[in-house]
Amino acid sequence: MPESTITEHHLGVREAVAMTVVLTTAKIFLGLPRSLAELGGPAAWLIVVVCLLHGPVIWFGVRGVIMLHPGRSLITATELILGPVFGTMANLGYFLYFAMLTTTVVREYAESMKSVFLRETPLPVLVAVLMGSALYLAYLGAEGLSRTCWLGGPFMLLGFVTLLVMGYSTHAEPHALFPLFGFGLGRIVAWGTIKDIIGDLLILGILAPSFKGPKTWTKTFFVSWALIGLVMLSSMVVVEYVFPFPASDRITIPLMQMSRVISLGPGIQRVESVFFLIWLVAGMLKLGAASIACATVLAQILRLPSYRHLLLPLGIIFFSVARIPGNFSQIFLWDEIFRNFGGIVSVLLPNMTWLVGLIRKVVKARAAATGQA
Amino acid sequence: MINLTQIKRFFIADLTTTRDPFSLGRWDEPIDDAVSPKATPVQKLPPAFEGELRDVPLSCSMDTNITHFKQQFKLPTSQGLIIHRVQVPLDPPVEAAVIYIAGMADTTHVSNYVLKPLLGEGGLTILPSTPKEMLHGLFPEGQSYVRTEFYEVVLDLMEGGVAVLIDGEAGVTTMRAEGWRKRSIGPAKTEVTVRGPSEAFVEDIRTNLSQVRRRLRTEEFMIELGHLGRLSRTDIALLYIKNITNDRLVNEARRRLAGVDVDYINDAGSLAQYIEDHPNAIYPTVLVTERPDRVATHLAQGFVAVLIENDAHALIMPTTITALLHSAEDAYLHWPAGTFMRLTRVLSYYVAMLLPGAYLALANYRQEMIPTPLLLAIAQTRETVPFSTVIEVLFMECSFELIHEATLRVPTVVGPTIGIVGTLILGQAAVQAGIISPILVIITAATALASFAIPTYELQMSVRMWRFTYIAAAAVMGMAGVIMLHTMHVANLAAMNSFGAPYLAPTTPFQRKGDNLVRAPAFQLDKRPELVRAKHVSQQDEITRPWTGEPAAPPPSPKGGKPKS
Repeated sequence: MPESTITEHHLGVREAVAMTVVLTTAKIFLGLPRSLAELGGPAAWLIVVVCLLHGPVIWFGVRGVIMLHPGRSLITATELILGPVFGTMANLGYFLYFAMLTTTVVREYAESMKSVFLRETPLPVLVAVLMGSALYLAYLGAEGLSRTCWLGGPFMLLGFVTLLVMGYSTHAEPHALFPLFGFGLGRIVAWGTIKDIIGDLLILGILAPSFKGPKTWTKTFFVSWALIGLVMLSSMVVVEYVFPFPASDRITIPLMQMSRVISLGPGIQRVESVFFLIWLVAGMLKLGAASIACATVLAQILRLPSYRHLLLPLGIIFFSVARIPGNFSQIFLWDEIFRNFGGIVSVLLPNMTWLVGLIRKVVKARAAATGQA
Repeated sequence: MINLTQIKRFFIADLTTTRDPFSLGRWDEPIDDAVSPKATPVQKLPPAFEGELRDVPLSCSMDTNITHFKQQFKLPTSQGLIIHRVQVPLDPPVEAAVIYIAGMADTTHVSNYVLKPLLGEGGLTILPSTPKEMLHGLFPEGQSYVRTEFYEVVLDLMEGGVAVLIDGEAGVTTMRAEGWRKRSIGPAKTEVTVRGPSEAFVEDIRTNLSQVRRRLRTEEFMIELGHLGRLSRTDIALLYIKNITNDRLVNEARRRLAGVDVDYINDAGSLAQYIEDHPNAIYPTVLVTERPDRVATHLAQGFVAVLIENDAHALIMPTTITALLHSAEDAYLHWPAGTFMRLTRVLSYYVAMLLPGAYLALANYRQEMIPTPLLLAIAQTRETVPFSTVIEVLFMECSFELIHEATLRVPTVVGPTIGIVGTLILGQAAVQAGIISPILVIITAATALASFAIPTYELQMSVRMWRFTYIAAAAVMGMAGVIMLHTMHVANLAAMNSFGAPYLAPTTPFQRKGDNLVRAPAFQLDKRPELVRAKHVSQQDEITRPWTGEPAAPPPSPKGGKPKS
């Protein structure tokens, strides 16, 4: 029997955008708004604005690396630029980034579920169930997952907008955003520069070969970036309006709390359940995408043709590591540390790699010219 | 005995395996690239005979040939082959033999149109002067062939043909004379519509082909015939429109059909399992229909279809979950009505699948979502029920499945009785006995009604099975379990393909003007579905209502209006 015709499947722009937006923005359903409120006070939303500027910088670095070796992913191109030793070390950095992301998110979600929705279920069971479902989603592949994100996207967006509008309508403090610069402009810029909240965009670099071409990839990147900015900024602003500082600093999961306080007459109340729906779906999809990213990076480092065989061992490792933090506050601390230093991997590493690649290219060209002469 | 090879794959990476690679092309690429015939060499559908019989030629000696036929058909141990030896009154007289299989060929036909002309009786035919002319001109009417290979004659006999052997000639004339009883064309039973045609396929493939051909009167309509099954030698037909259907799709269909290597196959459902992408999936990935109009519509849009002898159903490939929720009737009504019906079906799909699970999750885990008066009413009705909600739900659902299965299997006259008895047991008696609460009767009834509103039988079955999975998820983890399971369920569907087309198309990948859950007006459906990557995307002019003077005019306003110049 002759072989079949085509062996590749490609990611569509809409689907990839949906997956990237879900992966990056799902953290607003956890403790990120509280963490930003703690740093910026009434100007926490301005930290988001500064953080969003990481987007073009990440794009610059990742695109530079990929363009030096067209058709390659961020991982394989990095290894070609930095060599097998330093390249692998850099790639392990990417792996650890997504591993840390998966681990913290799975534990945060499990803790939140236990504290709010399933109080009698043991925590390890919740971690295992979340991890298991994420691995299943990852097993289905980036194509299937991205299509699921595209399908769920409108519902999640609708639920999210409803939540913000109703939350704002229930209670809003008019002067919540003042003083405009909060604890000071310097602090905003400093934390905005350090805090890594959109580094998840790196997944587009890892999946770069799955796109039709560089133009499609760039389009996907910037559309995702714009939507991420819109979602994060709007949620942060509304959180600040509904829970003015310092209240926003004292609520562990502000958006969940917002869903609980909504009460617009007898017909519109207990929106918490609607929130729970989008909260859980977003979390699962985020975990699935992060698991794909993790396994893909490792598979590319190990030069394996498929990442699927790595999912089960990685899942066991994530489950074990996610059990290490003793309580809710410790996992938030882990998340804070991860967000404070994540920029080293997401922003600096691709740009440094690109710089090294350019230098090596120039050196090689000069050496070639000298050899010819 | 534990199969170590099966277990090994969970521990050691098998890097040689890949997933099914067939795809109809990148979703974003120009269609011209996707249909280019850079694909595999064209395969042919499997022939009826393979092996040694193909190499046996016919002899000039009639006796040798008859001996060979007797050996092949195991005469006299096995009965059925009828051999009439006759002397044809030529000058000089010629020995001939008429062979057919009892029950397969029509004896009246054999007598009137074969034996009598051969014997020069009845003045039906003027006999040719030589055996050669006789061979080629004996049956000017009807479908007759001159065969030179032994296996061709055997095949014709198996299909109800009659063969005429003439002594001294190395060829055999065969003629179609099927004599078995056939069911006449009747109305559709499982895809009933109020408007539009109501006829359905029958078990005879030629009748079915004629039903489709009547609707597609173009020379581009292709019917490729083949056979499947070493024992059954069942006729199959691959149907497509030559200048519309993607060559790669046709090749893939041929490739998969050619790969079916079995002794016996006799129905479309079994065939579907051999050729579909996900034979272990709960969802069907091939559309099975009994309606010729639906087959013709799909063929005109660039799909391929397969008909099989002895089955009154056709297979249409590729298919999507959206197509499984469509009914032929959607197109026969005005688009608002068609859309309304489709949305009702989508709602019924979700109700049939999720309602019992959602009720269980709400009643057990998320009582605050239920309005307080209703919650109190439910609590009051459950006061006397001795079982937990999970047991209640499972009892009702299992009872419903029992009744459903029993109603299908018993004779038609008894069916309604079982329905009434079941309803009484499930409804009145169970509530009065305090086994279940009244609210659950309403839930089960709504679920049952919703499941019957799903237009495709295979999808109904899938939904019924998924319903129990959702009940289990709700019992264990409440609403969280339902949501998580549903997310994985949708992701699973999103990752599925049917003959290279995404299963959730045209929702994802998205086609802007696709025939999706919302049905566009017929005059706006300018393009064929993207998922089949047809050779010609356009299926009608943009101006389909020329008197309006506007391309793809919007739906007519309720007030009517003057035609625009």
